[in-house]
Amino acid sequence: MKKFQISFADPDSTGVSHSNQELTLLSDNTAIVNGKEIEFDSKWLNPNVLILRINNKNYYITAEENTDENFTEINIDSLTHRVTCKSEFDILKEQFAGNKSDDKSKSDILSPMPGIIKKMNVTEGQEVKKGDVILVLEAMKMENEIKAKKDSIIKKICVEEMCSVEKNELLIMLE
Amino acid sequence: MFKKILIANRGEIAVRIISTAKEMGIKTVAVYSDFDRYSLFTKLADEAYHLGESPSSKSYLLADKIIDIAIKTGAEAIHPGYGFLSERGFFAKMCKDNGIRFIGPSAESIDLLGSKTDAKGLALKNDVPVVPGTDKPLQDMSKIKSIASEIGYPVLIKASAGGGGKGMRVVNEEADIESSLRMAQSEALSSFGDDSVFIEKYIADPRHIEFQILADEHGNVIHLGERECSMQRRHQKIIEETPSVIMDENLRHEMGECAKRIVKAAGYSNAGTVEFIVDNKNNYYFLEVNTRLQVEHPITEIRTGLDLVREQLKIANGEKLSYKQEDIKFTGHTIECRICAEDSYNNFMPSTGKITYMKKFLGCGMREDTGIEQDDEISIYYDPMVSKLISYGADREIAIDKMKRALKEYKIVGIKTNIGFLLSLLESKEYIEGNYHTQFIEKEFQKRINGNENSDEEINIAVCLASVLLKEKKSLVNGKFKISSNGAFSNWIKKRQDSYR
Repeated sequence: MKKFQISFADPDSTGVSHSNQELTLLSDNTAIVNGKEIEFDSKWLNPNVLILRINNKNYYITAEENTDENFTEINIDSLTHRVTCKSEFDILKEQFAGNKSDDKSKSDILSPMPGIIKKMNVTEGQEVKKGDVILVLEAMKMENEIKAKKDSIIKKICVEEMCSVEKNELLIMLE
Repeated sequence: MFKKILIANRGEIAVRIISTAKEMGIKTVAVYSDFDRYSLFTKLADEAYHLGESPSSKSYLLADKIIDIAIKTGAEAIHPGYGFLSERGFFAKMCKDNGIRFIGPSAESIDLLGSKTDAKGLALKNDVPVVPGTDKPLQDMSKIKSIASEIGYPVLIKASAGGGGKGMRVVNEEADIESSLRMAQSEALSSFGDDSVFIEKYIADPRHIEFQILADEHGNVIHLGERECSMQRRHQKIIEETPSVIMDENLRHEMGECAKRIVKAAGYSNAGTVEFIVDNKNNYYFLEVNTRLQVEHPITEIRTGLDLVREQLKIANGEKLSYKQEDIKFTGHTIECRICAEDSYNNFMPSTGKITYMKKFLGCGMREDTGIEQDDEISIYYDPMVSKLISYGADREIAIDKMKRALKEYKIVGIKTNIGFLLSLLESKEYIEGNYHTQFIEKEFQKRINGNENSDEEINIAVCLASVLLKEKKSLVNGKFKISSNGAFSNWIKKRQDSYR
């Protein structure tokens, strides 16, 4: 018997969870979800593709882990659900390790893809609000706005306008 | 007919052209960049030649090299597809100078219609309505005021050197024009160092409707009806359909005849598209002519039963059109959705990566045009389109239902796509009622997409279970006792884990 806690996040990747569900795995084909016992049958067609039959109802699911942001994307009927799934053990481990807040690197802005910095909208020391456009990155013939994911202060700008960047290159350090 | 043609393009449009050529017994030559060495289109062609490095400036835009390959392989004609060299007059001329047929209009027509002012002048001369306004830059306030009242408010002031919305102002009434003009001019001056402006009638929330035309080299021109392309995001079409919900027989005839007059006046031959914007009172204005095959051509093919690539090849071969206007019959309703590699939930950021799984269930009433297969990679070098799904049915409702079903059953792993976004557009009240315009997504819809308000309990259970099964599978793969940096801690973990069994 293994217990899990699943939290659902908004799909806009802010990571705000808005509901928690509990699931207990009883065996390879039975589980209890929020107090309800279910029977299921499952087969992985590929490491990310799952056929799930819950009480004989079919789901053709694709599931991918987003390791950067630590959640799993479950796609059913082309609708994406973002969740984080923790085992009882994960939760204990977290408590044991203490409530370590987000490590610093997470608040930095890395280039999501190779491209060219088209426009830099901020200066060092500037305060930005969640959703503010920090810079514009041109890639795949398109201009992409890179926005602040939360309210923060620009600590250091590591690139200049018109310079080209690689994927995951550090662009901006935030505070 | 040609015995062999070269396709100076890649991806789905190269696949599309190769298919028709094969059906007509024409051999095909593909050209490819480093990235595309084993892409689908290179495998389907009879021959494939390497052009250069992956960036298009070092491969698909190398006109000289493409011409050399055509000569070397004995290809009699070149199909440019869309994008790349398709609307470059110089390339059409290079083909001609080397005795190769360019499957498209003449260099002269491309250049004439490629110039916005020339094309607008041509439209005016041929009684085709254009958006009223000036085509010369102005600076003088009193002149601007008199022109504005002549064309009627609201008007749009545009910096003549403009771009990106800078120095642009909508003026709703005469009282505002002086202050708006001053602001537009100072913005224009500081951004572009030039304060002259154009002024034109402002068309609020227009539709984008285009007409497909076919013209042969003997002066015959027909139109194949309209395509409604108003569902756009940042000027990129996303969903197209035909017929347009606003179209009736009379309007179709009127706009179709306008389209024919323009291309005739330009001495145009081959397939082309005449674009219009249409206001909420069904006043239409000529926008521009696209002198090539369009991405969204399949919906016209389905509604008319014609194969546009076949017609292009016949026209390029000097044949007369085999259809008269009255032979063209329209049936049913068709919709195209462009599936793109992008993250709709993260500001439509392009998504690159390898497609590790791809499976679709098209079924009755669906067509797919794609150049991508499972295990292919989506790169930064080219546009992010993965596939075009086209649905058709006897009426609009059936076409929408089929599209929704096929989108839900389109499985793709490894990249993010806009499929969920497309579905929510198709399910929006505005789309269902056909009541949308080119500004709809940016002005109205984008606000709604963040937040997946699904609360179906059964789906939630499936999501939970799937995430648990994925986690379990992964922990099996990774081995059970991964953490070993601290012996005491890992022993403690081991104990905890044992207690789970």
